[in-house]
Amino acid sequence: MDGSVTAVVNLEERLAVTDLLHREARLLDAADFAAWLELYAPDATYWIPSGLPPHDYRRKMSIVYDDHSAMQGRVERLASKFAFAQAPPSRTVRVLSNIEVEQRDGGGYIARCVYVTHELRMHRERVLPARATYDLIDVGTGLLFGHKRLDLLASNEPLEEIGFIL
Amino acid sequence: MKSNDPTDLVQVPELDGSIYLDPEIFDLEMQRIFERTWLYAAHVSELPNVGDFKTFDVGREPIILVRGEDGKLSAYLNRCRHRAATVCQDECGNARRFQCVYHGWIYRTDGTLVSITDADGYPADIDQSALSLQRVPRVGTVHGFVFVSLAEEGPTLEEHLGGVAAYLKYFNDLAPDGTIRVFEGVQKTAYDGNWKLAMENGTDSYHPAYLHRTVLPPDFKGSYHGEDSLGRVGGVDGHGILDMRDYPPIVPGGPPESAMYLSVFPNLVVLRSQIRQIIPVSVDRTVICTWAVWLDGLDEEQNVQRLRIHENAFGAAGLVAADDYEAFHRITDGLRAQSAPTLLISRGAHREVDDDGGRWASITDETPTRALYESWSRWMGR
Repeated sequence: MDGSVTAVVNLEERLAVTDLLHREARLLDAADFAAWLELYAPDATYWIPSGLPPHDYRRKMSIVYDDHSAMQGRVERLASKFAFAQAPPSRTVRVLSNIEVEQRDGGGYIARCVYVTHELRMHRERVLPARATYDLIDVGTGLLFGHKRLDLLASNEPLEEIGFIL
Repeated sequence: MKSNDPTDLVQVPELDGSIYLDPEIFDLEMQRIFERTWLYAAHVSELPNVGDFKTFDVGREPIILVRGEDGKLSAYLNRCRHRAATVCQDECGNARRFQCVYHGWIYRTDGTLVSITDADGYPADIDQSALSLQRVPRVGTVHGFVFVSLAEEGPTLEEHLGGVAAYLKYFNDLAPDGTIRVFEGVQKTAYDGNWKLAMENGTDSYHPAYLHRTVLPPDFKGSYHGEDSLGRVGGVDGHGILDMRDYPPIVPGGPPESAMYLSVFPNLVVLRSQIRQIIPVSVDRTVICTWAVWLDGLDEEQNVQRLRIHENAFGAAGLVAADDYEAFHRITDGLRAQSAPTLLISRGAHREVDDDGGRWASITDETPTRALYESWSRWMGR
């Protein structure tokens, strides 16, 4: 992705991108998954690689590699009352920091940040630090996510269940 | 321990809850099961080339499994013969030598000590051959599945697997070209609970229609119960089998997956597109490593589709697995109520029939779990 960077973004663009990142984090913290999914383009993908780099989602196991329909499936499951891994649901607080925004070839932006999720469930708290990378697409009426990738600090460690959408 | 003889705690169809909670039982399981019987170690496709290795624990002992210059797989304790430091830290890779970083002793991939740093500190006639990495006594491969045993003696691998070997072959032979490979990478998951919960779960088909209702097709349950149920469960030579080969596919129109589910005592689960290794950490902590399987001869798109379907269902964020881990946590929590100490694994015991070298019953019965506890009792009683 580094090779596709063409220009530095202006302040207005940067604000629009960071606003979307923050809105996504807020919707996930609020467990408003249906509204969250509306931030994604119909051909969007969502990737959490497993293990250590290099990663190749067609040749190597991932923790999550969802297309839009798989994302939709997660949202429907969480709305169903039978997602037992989320009964009771996790409460989460996401902290996004070190945000960088770049323009990409063919329009849209690449955003990178540090993405730390604090989860509280069944009286236990855990922290899931990650680096996030997003592709943002300008659809005329605004920005949508085309791709989100989370590289967990613990991507090569045994992970306990992640029943919510990270 | 509640009893001096741990087998008193398993009176099928009742299990005493302490077998999941008592650290002394766990220690005995490590000694009598994990450090004696055959354990699943790797799939051959993880170590195709000379020098390929992987490291992991067998019971409580760190080992290196490596393909030597003779092309054969051998295993060694990951422990320098000098002062016991591990000689290999990587999870997997390719090596010509293993070197201890503490004082620099170097071993070949066949375990022999080739270099003692500043050897003049030892007598000139020191017997270096007696200082090879300690060899793991037995390594064996059946249909591409590699097993190791820390015991010099005991049942052969073929005896240990018994009739389940044919089903490992079935899993392998799903590949049109007759060979399977694991995809690169592994999903590692963990839960606070005993390792036996994961082994039981692999071939427990009583739970999916309830626990996994969010991810099963709507007509799944209809063909799952009653006299017309397709498929069956079995216990074969102390291993659990769930046979759904004539069952509608879980993902309609999807690529081929194995409908034969296997819980191979004590640490291997094989089902659909995956191989799982169960790793006991402590009495109430377990790690599971899961590999997705590529079928040689199936086109790339369908293989990638198998990977996608697997990831969606399994791993820490898998829609199936997350609910399984939740059940394990709830069991571990409920087990604390030790005033009511027993668990029940009686389902279907009255309707088992002998067939195909095992005992079989209806699709939701607990025959596979009873088979696993036959193995458990046999090894724990020795």
